[in-house]
Amino acid sequence: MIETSTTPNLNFNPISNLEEPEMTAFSESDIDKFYDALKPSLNKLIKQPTDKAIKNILNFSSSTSN
Amino acid sequence: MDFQIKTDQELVHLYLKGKEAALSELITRHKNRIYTSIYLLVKDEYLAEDIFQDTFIKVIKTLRAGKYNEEGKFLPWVLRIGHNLVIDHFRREKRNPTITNSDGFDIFDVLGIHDESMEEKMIKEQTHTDLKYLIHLLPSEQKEVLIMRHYGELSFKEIADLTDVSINTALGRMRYALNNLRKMMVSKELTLKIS
Repeated sequence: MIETSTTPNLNFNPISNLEEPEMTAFSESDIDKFYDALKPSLNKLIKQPTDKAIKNILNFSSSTSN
Repeated sequence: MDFQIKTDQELVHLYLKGKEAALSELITRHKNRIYTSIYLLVKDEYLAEDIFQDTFIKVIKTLRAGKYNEEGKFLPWVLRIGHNLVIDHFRREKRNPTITNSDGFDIFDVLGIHDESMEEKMIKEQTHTDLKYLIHLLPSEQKEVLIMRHYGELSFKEIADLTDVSINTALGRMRYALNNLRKMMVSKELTLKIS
């Protein structure tokens, strides 16, 4: 992969204190704004199952119907 | 009959009366939310697809057995089944650990990206990949709430019922998830100007 000055670095360790209640780091409104800004990126992660998977389900349904 | 204008509940009734197309509409309507919720938990598209199919097979069997609770909403109910199947999978994995291949984070199909330089394209792809990676770093209960809230579009009450916690706890976990994601993104200088 070509590294650029803005390419995020993947080589980092997980933050160890993620379970600690550190809600003081950002205000509520900051978090709301952050979530709004994050939504389009989260939506980019949406995937869909293959047509084959759906066909398998429908086949199962029709083959087991009375 | 126009199934698209029917509610989920009406589609369930029609399906139980023998209209197979009603099931097809229910799947079409909710497939992406359900599949994505499963996929982000198991991190493997082939496994996610298996669990997605198993989820609907269980849905079909439960509906036909007359065990579907009409008071509940269809999507939260299906997500709960999928969620339980994911937990079953991890329990089996724990008992019989195996080496599995990741699907390689191939989500950012570049199909929709036009008029961008190769560098911009790569940065965008890398940022999305990193975001997914960061989601996976969250504690499981925070990740679950984020996935159910955002992809399942469940209310916090529905999430609370599904995960057997109070609404305040579900809400708090969402806050922690967002807070932690932001902390990680800030520390890694990940930008959100990518959509």
